[in-house]
Amino acid sequence: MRIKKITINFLSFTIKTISTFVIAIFFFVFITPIGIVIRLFKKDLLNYKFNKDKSYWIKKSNLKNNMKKQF
Amino acid sequence: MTTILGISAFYHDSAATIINNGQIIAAAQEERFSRIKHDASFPKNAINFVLNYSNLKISQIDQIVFFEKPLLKFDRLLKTYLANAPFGFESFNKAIPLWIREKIFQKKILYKNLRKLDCDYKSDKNIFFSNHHLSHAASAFFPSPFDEAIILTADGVGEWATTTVAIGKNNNLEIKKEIHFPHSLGLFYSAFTYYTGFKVNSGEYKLMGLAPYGEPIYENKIKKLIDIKEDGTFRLDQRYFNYTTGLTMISEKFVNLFGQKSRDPLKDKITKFHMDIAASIQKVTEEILIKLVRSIQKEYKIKNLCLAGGVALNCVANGKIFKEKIFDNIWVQPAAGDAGGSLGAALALWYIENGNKRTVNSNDDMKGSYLGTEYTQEEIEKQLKSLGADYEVLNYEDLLNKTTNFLSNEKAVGWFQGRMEFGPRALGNRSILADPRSEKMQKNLNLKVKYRESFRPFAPSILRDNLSEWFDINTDSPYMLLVANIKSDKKIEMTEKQKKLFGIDKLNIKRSKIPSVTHVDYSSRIHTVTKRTNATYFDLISKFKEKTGCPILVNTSFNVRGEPIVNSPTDAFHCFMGTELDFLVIGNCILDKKKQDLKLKKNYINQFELD
Repeated sequence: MRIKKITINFLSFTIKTISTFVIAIFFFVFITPIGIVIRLFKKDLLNYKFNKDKSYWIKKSNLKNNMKKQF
Repeated sequence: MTTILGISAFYHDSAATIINNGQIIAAAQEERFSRIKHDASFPKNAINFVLNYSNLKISQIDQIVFFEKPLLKFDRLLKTYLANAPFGFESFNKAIPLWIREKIFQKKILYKNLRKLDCDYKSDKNIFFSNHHLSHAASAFFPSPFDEAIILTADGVGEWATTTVAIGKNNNLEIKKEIHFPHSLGLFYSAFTYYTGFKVNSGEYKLMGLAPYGEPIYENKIKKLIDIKEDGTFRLDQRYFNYTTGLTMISEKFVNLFGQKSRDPLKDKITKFHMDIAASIQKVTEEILIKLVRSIQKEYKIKNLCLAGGVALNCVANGKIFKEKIFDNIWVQPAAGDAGGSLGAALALWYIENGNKRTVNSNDDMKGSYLGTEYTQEEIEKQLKSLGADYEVLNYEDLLNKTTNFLSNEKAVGWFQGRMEFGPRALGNRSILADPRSEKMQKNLNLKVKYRESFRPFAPSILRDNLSEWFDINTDSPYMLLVANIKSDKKIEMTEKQKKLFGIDKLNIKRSKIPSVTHVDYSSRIHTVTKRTNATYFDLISKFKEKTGCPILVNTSFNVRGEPIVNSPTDAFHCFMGTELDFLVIGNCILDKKKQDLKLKKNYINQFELD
């Protein structure tokens, strides 16, 4: 029983570590450099900056929402 | 005959709705069945209920629609990390496995879960996806009594949108413009919910209830966090927040600005500081909403307004919008939060995608929001018997007379009748009732029955015909989503000395003829009752009026703090036995606490997490 518990804990720890390692590679090797390049080109992906315009509304495009699609 | 099943799930407040040829048949939140507040899991129990209510199986449903588009949400998630990397790894590491496991292949997951409910369901081809704010807007417009309206939705965040304006006309609805994440009025308010030590997505009501105890002295400081344009649109200064890629709502800079750390609900008491913060954020929120509403009315020149999204549950702000008389008519979806998304998605599919005709109902199509479970007298007695309850069965007239007697003798009564409400408010079918004239009732109900903070106010249910005699408002508020002030002749003005009392101490001062439902600023969250929407509840209040001259009852949801509202007679009995409720009235049964076997009493309160 004790051996079973130790095995389960070990496996779950290993899976978690591998998963974190893979996610870290994806985050620091892909997401981070792409994100930095985008910012170097002054692209404000989340509209962080305040501006002097009269309004912050974003006009919705006329494209009809297609309910068959997940995007 | 076309049936559509609407589903909202996987964020908070999962729910299911079934509509038949555009008519709303049944709707319920998963939390009522699972007994987990704001349950976000796949709503299998709620789906089973709406299907059973319609005598249908999943394989017999024509179309199934999910309330939002998961891949657009994932797009937002990735862009948010791109905009912040290398910061945000901890949150990324938590979010990605969750998305891969539960969200990114949503159609497959939905299909798999639906098939578990009915093995005859063999293809996912009838699964559709609405859009988060389109679902909110559809839930606000299509059941409304208007042929044409402007629809304003505001919440934390959907896919990208956090605030939208749409125009609804007949059977069509079109979103015209939006404000996008991370600039969100819902998240702005939730940041202060977090800061004052309440639970995000749940404790926002508490913050709103706390506001009248304070002074809005932090208004100017709060405005440093946000740039508000004349038309009410806004952007949040993200240096003060941490919700985009962090695991908390606010940053160190936010804490430094206000000078106190976030309140720990387990250690720190609520002080004047928290009350002033609550008053200030409420004031700024109201200012933004009023500016938004005024500018969209000026632009589109339509006289009707519909509201939905979590922010529309801020009934104090709704009351202020109403008082400004910017629109002739306002209608707020009673299930304005994400649960209502299941209803909106189904209606959006029926009207917008399928192009079906719409007939406007002058009273609205929500059936009083009584869309949930109901139990026959036989089922009620069967459950009570199996629980070992001692009960008495009375005829309708005697039931009303006896309940009225209990109430006028300052007893707290659990009241369980008819179909359960859809949405966060109890509207007289799953309610705890009391006498509003009692001076001690607010404190007693809060501390001994609901086990919640003593500052929290209670709402009055009032006969619609008597509304303007008691409150400075004369419009329907059947869903308890408008706040109004008590009439001056019913007020008891506080002396100068009393006015100077510290926040919660004001509670002990009798402020009106109905102190239990009069907040410290003389306001009340109004619930109007008519014979048409709830005949039994109407008859009970009428009987109470006959006996006491007062056409009002205290109405609070039938639950304790942190617990979902009771669903079944069994839930009601457990809540009755676990609290200091004096009587329970279910269907035609009356239960007296004194006659119950005390061994049936359970330690109830510790089962539910503080919200």
